[in-house]
Amino acid sequence: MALWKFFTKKSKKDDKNECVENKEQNKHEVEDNKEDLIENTKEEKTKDIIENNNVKINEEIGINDEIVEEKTKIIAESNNIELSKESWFARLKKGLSKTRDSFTYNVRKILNFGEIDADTLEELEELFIQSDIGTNITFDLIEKIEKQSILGKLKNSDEVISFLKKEFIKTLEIETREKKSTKPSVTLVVGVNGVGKTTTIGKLAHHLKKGGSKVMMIAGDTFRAAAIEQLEIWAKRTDSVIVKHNEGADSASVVFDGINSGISKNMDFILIDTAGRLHNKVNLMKELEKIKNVIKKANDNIEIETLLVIDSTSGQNGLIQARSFKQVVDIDGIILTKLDGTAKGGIIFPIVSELKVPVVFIGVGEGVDDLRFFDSEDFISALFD
Amino acid sequence: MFENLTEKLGDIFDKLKGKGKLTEKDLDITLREVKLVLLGADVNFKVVKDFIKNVKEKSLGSEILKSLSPGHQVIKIVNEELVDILGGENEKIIFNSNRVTKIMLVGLQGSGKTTTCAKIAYNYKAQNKKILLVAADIYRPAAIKQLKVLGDSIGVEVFSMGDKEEPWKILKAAEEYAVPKGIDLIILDTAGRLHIDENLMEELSLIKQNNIVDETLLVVDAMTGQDAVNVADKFNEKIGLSGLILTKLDGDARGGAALSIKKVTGKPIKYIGVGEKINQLESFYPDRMASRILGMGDVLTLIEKAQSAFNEEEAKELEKKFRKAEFTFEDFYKQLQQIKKMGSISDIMNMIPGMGKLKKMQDVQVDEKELVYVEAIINSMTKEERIRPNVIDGSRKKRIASGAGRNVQEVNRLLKQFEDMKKMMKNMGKMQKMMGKMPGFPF
Ligand SMILES: Nc1nc2c(ncn2[C@@H]2O[C@H](COP(=O)(O)OP(=O)(O)OP(=O)(O)O)[C@@H](O)[C@H]2O)c(=O)[nH]1
Ligand SMILES: [Mg+2]
Repeated sequence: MALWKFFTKKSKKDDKNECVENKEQNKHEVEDNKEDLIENTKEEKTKDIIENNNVKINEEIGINDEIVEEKTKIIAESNNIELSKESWFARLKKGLSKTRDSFTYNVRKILNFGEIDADTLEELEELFIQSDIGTNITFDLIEKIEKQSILGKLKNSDEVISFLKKEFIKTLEIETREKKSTKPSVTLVVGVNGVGKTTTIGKLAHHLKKGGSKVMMIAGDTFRAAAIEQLEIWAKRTDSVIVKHNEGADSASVVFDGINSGISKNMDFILIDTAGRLHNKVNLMKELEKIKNVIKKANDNIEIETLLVIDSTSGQNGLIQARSFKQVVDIDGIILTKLDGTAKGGIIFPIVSELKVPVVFIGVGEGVDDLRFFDSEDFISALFD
Repeated sequence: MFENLTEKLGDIFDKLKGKGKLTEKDLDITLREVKLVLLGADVNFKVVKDFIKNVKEKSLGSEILKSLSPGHQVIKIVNEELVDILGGENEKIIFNSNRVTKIMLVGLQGSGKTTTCAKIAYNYKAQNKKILLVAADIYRPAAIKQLKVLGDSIGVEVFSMGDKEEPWKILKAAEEYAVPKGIDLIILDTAGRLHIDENLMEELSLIKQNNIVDETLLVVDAMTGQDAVNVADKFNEKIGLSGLILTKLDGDARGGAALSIKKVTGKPIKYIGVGEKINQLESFYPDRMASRILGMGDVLTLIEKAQSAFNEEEAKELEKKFRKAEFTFEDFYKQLQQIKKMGSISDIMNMIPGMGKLKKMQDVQVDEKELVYVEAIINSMTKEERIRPNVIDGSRKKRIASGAGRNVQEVNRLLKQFEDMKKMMKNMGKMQKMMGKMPGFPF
């Protein structure tokens, strides 16, 4: 099962659980209003989870520093680890509208007089380009808008806005491959230098731990100075197990050891950090291939999930990155980081559209809580509202 | 996408071929393509807009539309403009002779500040400067450790006060520590931060308010997209920059961000990072960057080669000859020599926009040998024969053929082709029509 399937956004239909949730939420807000909560769709497990959650809360405020090892009989699959929607949405919106105006505002401004002519089309073009969507999708959209407006189907800014929203959602919503569920669930995090791989692993671990799972990190970046120490700090922060070798050691061999250790320690999740690498470096890309092979060698039954981290400030090179990584190690999902800045992360549109790989998480800051489940509708709303 | 401007422009030039003169509309089409290339390279759209407007004005204002190869001239202006924006004073760090020189590196998270600090240290250590690296990234886990590891690896001391002290105080203390030791250069590594993070930007201001900082360098990832201008603008506005460093240029990003940040801040790009290793820091060359952004080093090389091999005066002279059908084998021979100066025919074909594509097609094969034979035949002619080919009778043909190592039929063919060419030229009112595609190519 895909790692991100363990995370859900709040479901409005789930009324029964909503009560429990709300109660739980109040408690959270009193004790630590930043804390996310755990939601369980299976009723009989709810009590268990809440109990677990209480322990975690206590632990965090320093009353009980014992790890809830015995609680791990709640297998990972039963947890729906909620990434609180409210706060991500607000934060994302805040980020996206900080120094520049939203799409909606801009489209309205451009189509002030309700007329779609060559000038307004050019301004719309600039609006799309500005968000790093790229020239291909931009021209495609412009052409569509032009055609529709000639046909009289797009007459004003409202119609253009809803048309755009629909088009964007269509691009982002794709069928995802279903992977079989294995224990441990192994996630390989890859990407170019400095995009936020290590930090994202820290954030993921934090949420998985809160769901009561056993989490292990493998320090696969044996190259960059102090990369291992960096991950160690995240392991400590999130109370995860870490497997590491020395700097300069073979990355594949630490991964091999880690996987074996993770299996014997009965881990639910293993998160593998890798060194940042530019996608045009053949040898470094081969190393990733080797890492994947070595996981299979450790245990042939393990399904590996490979997540590519893309920095939202990235321009058109992001697409080339994604293409290359997909070709070499196959990518199951994308994590879009640094959305708390002013970049809009439009590069995911050409990526998703071409490679048919879903965006699964977004990063909105440097703290443990700054990870959000990706929801295309919310993402687009945040772009527009 | 538009990975190859050469191909793209090749298509346009093909369309313009035989026109000789560019109209304003042709110019717009060409510039539209240039615009797409720049956007594809991540140059900010506002910067692109201004840029195109500028190039258009320059093109219209000059004589280029009437020149022999207007298409190439436009691209040349584009390139010159790019180099112009990217360039400017490119002095390295200026050392203060009276006291220790202090520089600090700032930028977004993950742009490569820490590594670059160590690279600069390594660079100046090799020039016998005494360096102190100072760790002021008090936020990112293991950032201080990272700088220490790097410092150790190059034998440069790293000053740190842990992660509890404020960065401006760290720099003050570092200076106090450095002065008695005779340190020449202090390099301050700061935490990555968002340009919109008020508190953290204030933290940087405080460093400068409480210390004399000689250089404040913004480190920018070459892969950055449209947002680069916002970032550079804010950093410059809030703390004042003295220069820029572009990192990760060993990747395949076209690096349009370089143009954006340079344009917005007006600050020189002092270094580029071209690898993860400590010695992979290089000087910045505006012309290389311009070619990279355009993705078209080849075309520019071709234009330069064509220009050095064939000056415009000569071209005009030839044009006159063509018009009056005074073109002789002598002139033709000169042309051949000029082509040779520019490299092999296939090299040249590869460099001509659009030709690379054409050459792949089976039926458009350039026969290098054929030209060698033609040259040999002309070589074997006397001066008189070259200027007045109608004196060439049967026995002369035999002599020419044996001198060139070819047969008489081939000599006949060449003479006939040459006559046809002259007839064609005579009929054509304006020679520009033929000259339009390439400078100095009358065929
Ligand atoms: N503002 C912001 N910063 C982030 C986010 N994610 C990561 N960062 C920061 O980006 C910087 C680089 O993050 P890392 O996690 O070290 O990136 P990495 O991909 O592991 O880097 P390398 O291993 O060096 O290639 C750090 O300063 C992080 O704190 C995010 O979502 N928002
Ligand atoms: Mg890392």
